[in-house]
Amino acid sequence: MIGIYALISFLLPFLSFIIIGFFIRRYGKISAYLSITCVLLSLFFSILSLIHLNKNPGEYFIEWLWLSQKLFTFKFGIWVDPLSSAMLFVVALVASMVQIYSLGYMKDETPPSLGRYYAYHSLFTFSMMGLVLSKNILELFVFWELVGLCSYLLIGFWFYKPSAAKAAVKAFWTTRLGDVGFMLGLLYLYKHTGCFELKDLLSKAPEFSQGIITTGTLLLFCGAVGKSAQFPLHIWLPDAMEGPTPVSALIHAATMVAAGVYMVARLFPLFSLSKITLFIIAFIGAFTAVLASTMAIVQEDIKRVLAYSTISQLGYMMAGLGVGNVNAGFFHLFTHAYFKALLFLCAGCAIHAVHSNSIWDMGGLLKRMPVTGFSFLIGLLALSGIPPFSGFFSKEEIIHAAYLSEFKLPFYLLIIGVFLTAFYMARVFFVAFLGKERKEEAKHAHEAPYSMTIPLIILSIFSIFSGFYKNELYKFLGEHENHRSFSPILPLLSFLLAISGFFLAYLYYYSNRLSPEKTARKIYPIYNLVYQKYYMDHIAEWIYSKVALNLSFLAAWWDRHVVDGTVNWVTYTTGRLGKNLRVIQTGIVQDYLVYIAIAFIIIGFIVFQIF
Amino acid sequence: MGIKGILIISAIMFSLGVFGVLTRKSALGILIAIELMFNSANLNFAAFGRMLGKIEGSIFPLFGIAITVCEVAVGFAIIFYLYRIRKTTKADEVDILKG
Repeated sequence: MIGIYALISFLLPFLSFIIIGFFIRRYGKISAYLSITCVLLSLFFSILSLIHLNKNPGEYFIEWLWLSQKLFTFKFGIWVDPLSSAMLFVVALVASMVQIYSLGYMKDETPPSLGRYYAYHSLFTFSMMGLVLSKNILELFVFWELVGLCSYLLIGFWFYKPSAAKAAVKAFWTTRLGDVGFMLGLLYLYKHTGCFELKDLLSKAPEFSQGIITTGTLLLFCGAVGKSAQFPLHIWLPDAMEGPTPVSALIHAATMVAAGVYMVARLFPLFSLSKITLFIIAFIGAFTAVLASTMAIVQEDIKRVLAYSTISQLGYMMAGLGVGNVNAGFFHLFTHAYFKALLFLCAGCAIHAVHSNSIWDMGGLLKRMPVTGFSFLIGLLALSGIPPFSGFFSKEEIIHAAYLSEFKLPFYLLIIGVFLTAFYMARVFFVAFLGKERKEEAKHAHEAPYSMTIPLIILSIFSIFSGFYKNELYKFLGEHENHRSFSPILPLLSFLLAISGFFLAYLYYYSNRLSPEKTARKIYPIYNLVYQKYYMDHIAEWIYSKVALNLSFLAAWWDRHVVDGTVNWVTYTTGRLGKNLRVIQTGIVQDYLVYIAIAFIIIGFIVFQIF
Repeated sequence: MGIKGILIISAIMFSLGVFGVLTRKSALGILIAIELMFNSANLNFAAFGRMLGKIEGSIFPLFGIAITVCEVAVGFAIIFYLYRIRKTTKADEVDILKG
């Protein structure tokens, strides 16, 4: 029964995608309501499966044969266990909130374009649920690519804007770079272990040799680096903000970018067997967390600040997995999905009201848009890790796990990250929501319609309370006892760091005791380095334009001259041969008779062995 | 005249036939040259039949002559038809089958 619930929940968005995509795309409003109905039903069924699974813990499978060959049989199916059903709920909840929100946000679109938008959204929800429920790694890869496709389509939703089209392509090829690693990883694991089934991989994992596990998991982690925007493939996520804001909230904050983290969490028993892989994951995660938060400090676009913040929080999750505490990583994913989606939706409301993305064009929005403002504040406090908001619990878990682990470096990096996170989020709040209105539009800003504010309120509730359910979630995920000694030092430390981050932002951006411009001028080289995003985009562009493009030219040259050359040479030689030989075919009978006579003479010589 | 002389005559006839076939321009000439080659073969049959004292050697040329008659009939038919289409019986002017 639980499997059936999950299956229904997984197939409903697909149904709505098929109906909208093939039949009713022209009627935008109907498409929107159909899609929302389906996703709400999907949410309902995912809650049902969650409740039932909580009552009868275990693992449930539904599978059917897809391919049966001599070499291998490939079964397609779903695997419902606590991890996947919890994730299913997160996806369904955020997707339904975002789709409802989009009704208000996208109301100026033409009906066909709105239909297209909801078709993509349904497809995304379906693919993401498929990814979550995947039973084997090949299926996981298929859905992994499908969510990548949806991300591409939705970033480039306003494809007539050159910047959006470019951002979509950039996101596509950057994540594809990681996916090559993922594919190599799954093929490598299949070659050496002979199984695609996740369950087999996990249960047989201790039998594999250390080298195979390390290589395989590192290759799989490449995919996670691309998808979850970790250093050095994080460059696509800030540009992905060219898409509509609800898309950023759903795909590029709450669900798809967490797919990498989810994949690592799913295969954690395999990953945990390799110390080297874990160290690399922990280090890259922690490094990304700090790197991205420094970049968030200097951004002016509110969505880009949130994008860097997402990268940084994904870094936290990765670090949590890397230091060996898979539940901490997943718990942060769980809470982050709510508060980051909330922050993005609030940013969407603000952008909608002011018609600008820059925080310097906003100001004083808290007075004019109280629901949005307070929701943003809740999201901010959760993100910065202020008790009792949800982010505090999950982030504290990760930091504690990092503190206990044998690698010390991630712990220090993560602690720095807490301070930076509080600082850049407070900066956005002080500049955009408090203070004076800096622009005419900000003065006339008014609260968004109900379709936009109700999702904010629901997500706010989740952002506040989801942290309290840590022990329940842990128990649900299978950790029976949370047997660590509670020490108040670490939470206090991160709390104080967050508060000092707030205070510094207050001094800079609210009370004007300190001037950001002056400080920037004083440390100009560092400021410029950060402002230029550590030249990561330049490096990527250089690699793309110089290395990748030249390699492509080389490949094209090889194709044109060597491969095509061989083919052309064969045909050309045959043609020439025929042209030369046709001369002897004169059509005159006597010439042929001469050939026959000569041939007979030669044959006679050979038969009678005259030579 | 022994068998040797007859074979020499036969060889000369055959060579003349081949020469004629390869050099004559007229289709009729080619047909006549072919007859020459045929008859050199018949002559060989008859000569060897007499030498070995066997009746088959004398009978086989009769079959050969009968076949030649049929062949000539067919050959003439072809040449007539060729003339009707191409208004010529010159073999080297009929070269539409060239590559």
